[in-house]
Amino acid sequence: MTRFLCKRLIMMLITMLCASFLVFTVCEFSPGSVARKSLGPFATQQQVDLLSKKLRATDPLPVRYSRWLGVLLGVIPDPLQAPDSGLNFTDPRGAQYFGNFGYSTLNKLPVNDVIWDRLKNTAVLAGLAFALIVPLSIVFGILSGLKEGGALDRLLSVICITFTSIPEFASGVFLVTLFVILWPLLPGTSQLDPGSGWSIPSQLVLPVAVLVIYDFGYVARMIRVSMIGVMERPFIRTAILKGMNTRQVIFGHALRNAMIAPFTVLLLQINFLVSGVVVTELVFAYPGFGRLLLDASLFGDIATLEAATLVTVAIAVTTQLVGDLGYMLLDPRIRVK
Amino acid sequence: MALESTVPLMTTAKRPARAKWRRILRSKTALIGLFLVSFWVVVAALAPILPLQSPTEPDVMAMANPFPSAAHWLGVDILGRDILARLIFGARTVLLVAPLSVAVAMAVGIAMGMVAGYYGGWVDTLISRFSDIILAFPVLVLYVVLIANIGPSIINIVIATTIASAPGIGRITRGLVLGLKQQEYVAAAKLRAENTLYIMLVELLPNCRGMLIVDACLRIGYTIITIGILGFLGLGLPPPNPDWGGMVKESTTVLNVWPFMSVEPSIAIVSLVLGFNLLADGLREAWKP
Amino acid sequence: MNMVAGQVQKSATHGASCATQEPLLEIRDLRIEFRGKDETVVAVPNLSLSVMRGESYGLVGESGCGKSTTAMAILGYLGRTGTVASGSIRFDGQELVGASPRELRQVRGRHIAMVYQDPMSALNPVRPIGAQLAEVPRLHLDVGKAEALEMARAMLHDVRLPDAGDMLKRYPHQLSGGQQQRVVIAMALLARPSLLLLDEPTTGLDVTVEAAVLDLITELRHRYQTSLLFISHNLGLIAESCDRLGIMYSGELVEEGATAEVFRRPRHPYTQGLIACIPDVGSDKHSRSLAAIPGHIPLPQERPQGCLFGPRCDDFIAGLCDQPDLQRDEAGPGHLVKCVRWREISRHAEKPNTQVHQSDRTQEAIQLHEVTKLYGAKGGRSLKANEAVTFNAKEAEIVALVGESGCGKSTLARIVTGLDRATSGEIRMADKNIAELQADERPKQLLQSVQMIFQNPDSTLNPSHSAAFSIRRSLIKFGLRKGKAAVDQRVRELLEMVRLSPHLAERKPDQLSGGQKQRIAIARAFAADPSLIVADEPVSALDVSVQAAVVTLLLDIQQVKKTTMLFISHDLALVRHVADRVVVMYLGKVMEQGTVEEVFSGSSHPYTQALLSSIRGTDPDRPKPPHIQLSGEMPSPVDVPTGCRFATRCHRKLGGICDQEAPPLRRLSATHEILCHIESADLQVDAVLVAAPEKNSGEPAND
Repeated sequence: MTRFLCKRLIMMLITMLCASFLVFTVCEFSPGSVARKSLGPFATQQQVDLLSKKLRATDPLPVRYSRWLGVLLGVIPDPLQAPDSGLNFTDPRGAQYFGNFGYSTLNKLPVNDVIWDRLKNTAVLAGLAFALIVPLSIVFGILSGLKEGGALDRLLSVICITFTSIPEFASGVFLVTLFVILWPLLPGTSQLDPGSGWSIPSQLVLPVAVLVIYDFGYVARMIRVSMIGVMERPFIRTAILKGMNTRQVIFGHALRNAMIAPFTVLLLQINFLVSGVVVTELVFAYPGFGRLLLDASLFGDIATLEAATLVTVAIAVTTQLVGDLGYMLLDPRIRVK
Repeated sequence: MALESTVPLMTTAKRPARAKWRRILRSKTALIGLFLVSFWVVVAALAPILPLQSPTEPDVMAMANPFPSAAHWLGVDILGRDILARLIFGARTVLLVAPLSVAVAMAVGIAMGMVAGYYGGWVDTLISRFSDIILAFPVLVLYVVLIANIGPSIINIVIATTIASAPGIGRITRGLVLGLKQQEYVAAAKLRAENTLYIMLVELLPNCRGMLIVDACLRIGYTIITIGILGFLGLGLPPPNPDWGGMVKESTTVLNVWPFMSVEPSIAIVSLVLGFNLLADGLREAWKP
Repeated sequence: MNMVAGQVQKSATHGASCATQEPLLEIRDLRIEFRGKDETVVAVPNLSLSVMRGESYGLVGESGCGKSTTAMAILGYLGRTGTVASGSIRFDGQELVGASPRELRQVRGRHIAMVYQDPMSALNPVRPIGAQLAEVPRLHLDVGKAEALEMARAMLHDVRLPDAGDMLKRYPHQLSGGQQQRVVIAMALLARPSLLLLDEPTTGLDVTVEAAVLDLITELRHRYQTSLLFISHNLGLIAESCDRLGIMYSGELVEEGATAEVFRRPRHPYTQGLIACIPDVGSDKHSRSLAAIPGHIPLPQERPQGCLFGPRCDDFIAGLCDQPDLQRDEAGPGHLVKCVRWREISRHAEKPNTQVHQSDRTQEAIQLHEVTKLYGAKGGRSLKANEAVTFNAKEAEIVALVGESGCGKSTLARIVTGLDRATSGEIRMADKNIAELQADERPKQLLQSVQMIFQNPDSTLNPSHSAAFSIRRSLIKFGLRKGKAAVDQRVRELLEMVRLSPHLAERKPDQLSGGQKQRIAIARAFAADPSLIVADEPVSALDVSVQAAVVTLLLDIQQVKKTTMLFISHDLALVRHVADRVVVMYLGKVMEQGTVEEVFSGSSHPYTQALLSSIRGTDPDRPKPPHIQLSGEMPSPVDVPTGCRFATRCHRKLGGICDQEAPPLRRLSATHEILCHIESADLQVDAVLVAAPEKNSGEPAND
């Protein structure tokens, strides 16, 4: 088991390295240079060139990437924070420490001051959404899958398929129209500002609803398919012909088998919730991680973008690992000795 | 060479033919989906000859009262442009780009999956690890990072879709091929000197058709949503093509007075995506063995 | 010790004494329909049978005859579309048709229990065996968890599973097929039901495992006084395990009676046909050819009026046999037949096979020498799929490879055809060593000369292409015909050769029956005009009557074309019929080889003797050899025992020498070799299996 975990950890690190390198490469094509972005549009070209030289921005790509990696690992100090760059970028934690994601040219703050707060906000949203998606999708999926083609199945399936067809901005528009404009029950924006007159929880209702509506249908359909597959398996017949009633068959035999495959799917929703929320955050002006990523991409704030990507990928590979471990726990056939 | 055999001749087959395509007609879900999709395809194809208002020219007169009226059946947007026309012309772009992107992604993904599944070994490991890395990227991040950096255009959206979708398609194909290559008819093909390319394209691929077509429909639906999202984020295709997502974005500022400007393009997107999803679901039901 | 040969009593006495009692299970005029969206299918139009207390009743029929459906109907489990349209099923006085779900639940598992065909899938893969077993007493006998587990443990001991306590914690996938089936049997018997339904319980198990499981069932049935409804397509099995039997055809019972009586004097033409289809150990292809029943089983919507077997019956008389509402006649005490003409019909004399003649064969077609195949396994060990396999085949000879699963016969087949590569050894064909040449490395001519017929008719043809597609490709790739017209003509000829109407060529495989698909596979193999054909279990997946037709066809074609054949099978009676020479394999090694008469005589390897003793025949008057029961499980090919591989299970083990030293190769004759420590003279056991063909010149018509 330890060998397995070690191998997986190494794979995770490699994945994160490759992902961050890919992002670095893609950002190469973005217009404008770090120097220009740091100094702003009103600086002279001469100043920009000077800074560029200081930052050694003309070095080949792999070198610059390794420099970024070095800063992150705390091996070298961040060149943007060097006092002689004239940029006045200061980080209370110092210029060289492990986990130094660098300086955000967009927000004029150290990245570490920016991303963790936003991540926390999104985590709240994602957490609430996840807490609702899990029971909803399981209930819908199992009830549909019990009697394939039955009336309940048809009804629930229609609901699920329809909801998966509604993108977040569309459901955002619909819900806001309904509950903010026509019947003013809820706030139209969720800036998490306690002074806006709406309680924080009420500001969360609509964004969470939008996320749940879009996502639970997909998971419910997966569970339904798994459930149908399980109900057709011979061991269900064995259980029934032993004299068990429906409830005993479901809880004793069907459920655990049906949840094996969807378990990983459910965990993967965490990835979606953490990063796919960008649209929801935009619609409701929610100060979250997704918007951070979007703004960084659009502006070309490489440091923040890299940091955000790394965090996202880390979450993704972690959920993958947890999913695989859970899979092994649930299914004795694939346990690693 | 006549054979004297006591074994009698067999003349009848077991079951009559039932075309795969005819089975679709028996699925109500598939029919509804097909109807929705065909509606938009027909409307988009006929757009140039339909009696529509201009999708790009603003009607300054109508801006005083942008609500739906006899002149503008769905009203006008904040710049005074006829919404109905914009929706129909926007459909042309969407129905061009989404299927095209998915087609290219399918070609790449199927090739990846076939090679990985058939050869196994280090080829499989390499392709699968590479796919894992891409799949670890949440899809939207991938799109945003790519488009934000290389700019929005049809080609770029096709490229972005291919990069984002091909690994998933590859995984499905690989799974199918792993099972199919054990079939005895593949061994029979090897015994008559068929080469690998033949086996992949003629023996294996046709048997993946069903699952891949269903997946393609779902992916087209998802790509339409993604194109909508990109438009909503401001990364959509540059004008003059009306962009459904962009239409929603432009109208959110006036949501509290003129909600219809955002609701109508939203409904358009939902109806088209729903069509593809229903079609996919109906096909899956109809083609179940 | 290892000698666990048991004499199992035939239970013929039980049935007779129960005649005056109330039947335990009485089915009367049962009609089962499946009501779909557009059509209603009548699976069983009219069925009546009864099972007495303490007796075992065999329900025999080919696939699609409705026997499994009947079993499901008894337990009220017909699915959403299935329903009992009319008729009654009385169990112990209680009417089961129309019973409430609650009543059914009280009967299921408690009074009527079931044993299934595929034990692996019948068990829940994610729950330990103990928990699944314990569910039965907790449901029906109102006991607590600890006591239920204790009962489960005792039951596992009764079904002769070792380490019962440890077994409770294991998961199904950790057990072998035979062990899993014992668990399923244990689960069924835990609540001491009075009726046990067995649906093909040993199909898919190895021959020796099957024998052990059947003996177990018989023993437990007597101990617990359980009645059995034994469903199978295997006549021989039923013949030896059941007191009475009923033959089902297309949803109807065409003949019923005491087992011995029915087999001695079969009255219905279908029964006679079935018996004539089955190869038996006493004769081979020179003395008899397996009779084939023309036509095929009618689908429910094709059922003719009157006698359902009419269209296929040689003795059919229009106006008489197609009258509706045929009644069952009594042909003897307790012997019922559904045939109007049973008195006039005589059992057709079996035609001796005049075609087959012994040709002087001297040319060696293929020679295998020390062929070994190893796979690398975890931990540096290797999986010995084949080791030092050596045998030859002469031209136009049929050499049978016999063995149970894991013996390496399929691996060997793949090596010979080039689908796999041998690790070492030689295979000489036409002066070339092809052992390490894979298919894509072989020159076309070589590839053409070695072709294969595969096992599974459902995967032998590509479902996306027409049936004859692969035949055409073969002709084109090997350059045997050029141009569409020539290719089509040849396809027609080949289809005619396998007795298929040419228009079937364009059908898709899913429209063809299993037998038809397998015939196409045969046509495909012969299309290349090969000199050697490897047939890997070509008929195992087919119905009995279809098997007979396909085997006869294959033999006829082979005779004419003088093709050498490697015939792989686990069915020893079939091997007896088909082969000229036999090679017996166990765990990757050749244990014995010789002519078919030599191997089937009394002096053979202990493993061969165990295999032979498990053959079940339908002739009630033939003396039955004592069943040899092998102890233990087949070792894993990764952990091959030192010394003699068979030593761990051998019933004639000499002692320590078998475990320590590899056995020597003994030559019993110029053609007969055995790998065993036992001296040649001591090998002879009571000659129970006759080598020479019997004179089956037809029995007197009317008794």
